[in-house]
Amino acid sequence: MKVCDYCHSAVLRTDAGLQAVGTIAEVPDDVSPLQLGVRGRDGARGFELIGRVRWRYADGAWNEWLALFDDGSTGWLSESSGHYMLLRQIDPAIIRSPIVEQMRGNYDILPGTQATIDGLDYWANDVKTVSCVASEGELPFNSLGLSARSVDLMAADEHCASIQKAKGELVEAYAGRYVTLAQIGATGLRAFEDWPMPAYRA
Amino acid sequence: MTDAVTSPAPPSPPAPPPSSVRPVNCPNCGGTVNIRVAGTTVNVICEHCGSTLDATSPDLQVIAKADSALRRPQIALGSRAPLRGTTWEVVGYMERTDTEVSWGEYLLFNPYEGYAFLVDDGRRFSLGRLLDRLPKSGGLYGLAVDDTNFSPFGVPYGVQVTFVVGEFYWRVAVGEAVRETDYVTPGTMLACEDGQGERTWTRLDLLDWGEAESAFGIPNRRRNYDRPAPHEPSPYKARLFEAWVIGGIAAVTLFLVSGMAGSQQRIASANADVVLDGAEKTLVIKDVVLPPGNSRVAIDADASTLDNSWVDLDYSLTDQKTQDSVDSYGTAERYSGYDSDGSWSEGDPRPDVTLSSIPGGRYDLVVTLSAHKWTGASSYTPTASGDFFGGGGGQQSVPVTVTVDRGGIFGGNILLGLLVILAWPVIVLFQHLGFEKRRKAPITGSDDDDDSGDDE
Amino acid sequence: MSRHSLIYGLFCLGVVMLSVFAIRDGYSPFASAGARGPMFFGSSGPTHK
Repeated sequence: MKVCDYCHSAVLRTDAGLQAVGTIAEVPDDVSPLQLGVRGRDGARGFELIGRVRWRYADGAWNEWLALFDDGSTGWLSESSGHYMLLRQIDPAIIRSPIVEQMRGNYDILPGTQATIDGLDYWANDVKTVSCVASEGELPFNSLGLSARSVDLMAADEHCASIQKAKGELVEAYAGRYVTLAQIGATGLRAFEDWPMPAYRA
Repeated sequence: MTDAVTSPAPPSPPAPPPSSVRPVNCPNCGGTVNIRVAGTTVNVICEHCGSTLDATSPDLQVIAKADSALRRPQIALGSRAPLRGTTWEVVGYMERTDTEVSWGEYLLFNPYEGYAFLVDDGRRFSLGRLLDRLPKSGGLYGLAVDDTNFSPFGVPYGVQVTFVVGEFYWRVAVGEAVRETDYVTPGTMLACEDGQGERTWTRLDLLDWGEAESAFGIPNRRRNYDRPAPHEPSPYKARLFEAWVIGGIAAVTLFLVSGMAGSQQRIASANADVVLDGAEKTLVIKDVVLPPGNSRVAIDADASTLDNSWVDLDYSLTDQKTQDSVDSYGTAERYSGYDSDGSWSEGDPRPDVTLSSIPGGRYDLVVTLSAHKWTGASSYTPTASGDFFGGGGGQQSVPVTVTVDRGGIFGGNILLGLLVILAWPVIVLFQHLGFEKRRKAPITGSDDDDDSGDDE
Repeated sequence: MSRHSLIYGLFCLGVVMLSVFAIRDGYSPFASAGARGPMFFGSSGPTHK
């Protein structure tokens, strides 16, 4: 789905062709150093941020940026209160945890619930119900009016994971690590009049 | 009208980078409130009227009014300074308490680094960052984060917010309560806070004396070690190590130097028999030679056969040429008997006398001896044979051997030297132990209340 | 606080030096008698002709 930068109409590409699906709220001007076009690096693979979704919940909001890697694959850079999670989608089947079933059945999930992915232990630290309030750029889904439950998980090292289920959709899972802007060598960041731009090496 | 060919408009100059500060008007009092982290800030508390405004509502809805007197933090909102390599801006300030003591916490922000906390306990400042990983267990009851071990400090305790101003990325309010458990390692604390169904881990690094103050331009806190912070390293530790190393080297040197003095050597000796309760006997040991320089001289009198009697000895070491003399005396004695506790004995029959700094030369040692029986012998009569006791009968005279040695060392000197050398390391040890005791003591008391919220 | 340690080191040096002098001189405050004026700076005492 692509959101027109000018008029914010959303255009969805389906098998039937292009389809206008409505107008998306403009992303509020927030103090985020990320913007569309920022380039970064996960190890040796470079990526560019091509889309953004802003998720809102009762007591706050965060951004999720769609990262298009140079090899054509995609991932997400989730930005929340100054923490960045660089995530790739994984198959929920490889997660050994009660969380996936609890998400499917819309049951409550307690913080501290454990999950094991690829032999590494994670614990849920954040459970929220969120809705998409704005988007920009290109996105792999129709974000209009999306509402979802989201669980973030932390590990004993920099690894992290996120399990989400949108209403009426399947459970989706993502795994990756916490990163800093310096670690991904971000370039093309937003400049602010009163803050010197850090120079991270690409 | 001709159709003018319009040339393409020149590209508009790139928009200047936006300022990150967004001024808005407080709907309660109309004052200007600066929102510095738009998009992430959730609650902003107006610094003029203290009302809490909802930053997620488009019209900044008033959530709560101020219920306590407004205070201005010592470091003003909007202040910016570098700390540990990153420039931070103060965007919010709150005060919290555990009902015994209070402290202040500044919320710091940098668009490229995120958030940090500057914690002010009234004495020291610490810089806190939220962890992005969970601690593992480490040590006996402790935790480990990335190879650093922390041990538990104290017991979990309740913490409440008592004052807020500025902007925060969570729904902060006066009265917000969490349960905190602390873990420490020298210089760093791990604070685990459980509240509102959420758990956060914060790593707090103790800043040096004056580090935060000079960064933000506030007066330096006066150094004192009355109430050390839980994660404060002992300032006496380095001094203690140095003191014991230096003291140890000095003590070893002292022993070595003493060893080089050599052992004492016999230079004269003589015997005499002294009649008990008889006339005074004078023994002269002639030609006692001392080498040039000053010597230690030891005069030993051996009267081991004494039994319930004693010998008074007067010594006079006289220089043959100048007739200057050094006088001293000793008493050889030994008493024994039976009483209700069994047999006892008392007294030293081999007294020694030491003389210091005797100049080299030829001397005569004049010894005046006088022996006496002790009449206060026990009244028990033994079952064994009678001549074991003093009292009536027994000895008539006591053989005494007087020997003169020179050289050797004074044990008292060595001991004195050691005590003097070790005095300082012991003092520092007590300083360190006292500090650690105060550091670990549960915090009570009101004389250390947070004073960072000054009324200007 | 190496200033404290420096002063302490000099102090220990002083104590050891004093001990050396005392040993050379056979001096002690604990002796029963003696000490005819410590002669520190001459290891030979009064010279007797």
